[in-house]
Amino acid sequence: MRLLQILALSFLVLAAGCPKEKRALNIARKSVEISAQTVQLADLQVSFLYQDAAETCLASWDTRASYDACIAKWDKTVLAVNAMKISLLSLETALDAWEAGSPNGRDNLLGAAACFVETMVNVQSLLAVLGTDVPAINQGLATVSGMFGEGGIACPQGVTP
Amino acid sequence: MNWSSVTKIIPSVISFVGSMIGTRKRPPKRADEILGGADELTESQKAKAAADAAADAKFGK
Repeated sequence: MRLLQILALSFLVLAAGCPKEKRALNIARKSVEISAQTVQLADLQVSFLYQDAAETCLASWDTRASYDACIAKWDKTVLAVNAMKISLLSLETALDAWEAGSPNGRDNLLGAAACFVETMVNVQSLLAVLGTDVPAINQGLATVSGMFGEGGIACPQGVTP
Repeated sequence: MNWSSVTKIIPSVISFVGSMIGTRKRPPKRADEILGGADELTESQKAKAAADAAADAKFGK
């Protein structure tokens, strides 16, 4: 999927200090929109998988404690999906600040993007433990992880939701 | 993944692809416009709330 290739490319353009800032900002905005649609799609898919898992757990167990244990990993995934959403909203806030001329705007934006990637990795890991996956996240991560790896700006500690 | 989940998600995939094509011709939407604000429940949180209610009904609170 090309959506996070666009995201990575747009942040690369921003990081390089491209003189055509307005165009770069527009690309970044479109990338954030496409990322939001990816998060929305992933959230919807997890919600359907959660419903199926909850129905199975409810039918399989006779006590609340055993039901809670059965659904616990899915509960963690729901939290992780929400963290991914919050992280993308933070990224958008960082983009707003950069556009408004914040002195550290560009670095904050790259840091926020790295945090967003971390939350995607977390969702991917949790889904892998559950024996399933969301293709949009897998394909997006394959492209973006290289961009924010060695030499990139890391997610500031304590920022990841 | 079971097929009922796949079937349910097809309209969203079609909408997603359509919006990706559409994004080239209009100003980009904001993430908070698409996903709602930070305090707005995600679809998976709504699914969890519904499942919790069903578990409460079966086991009691």
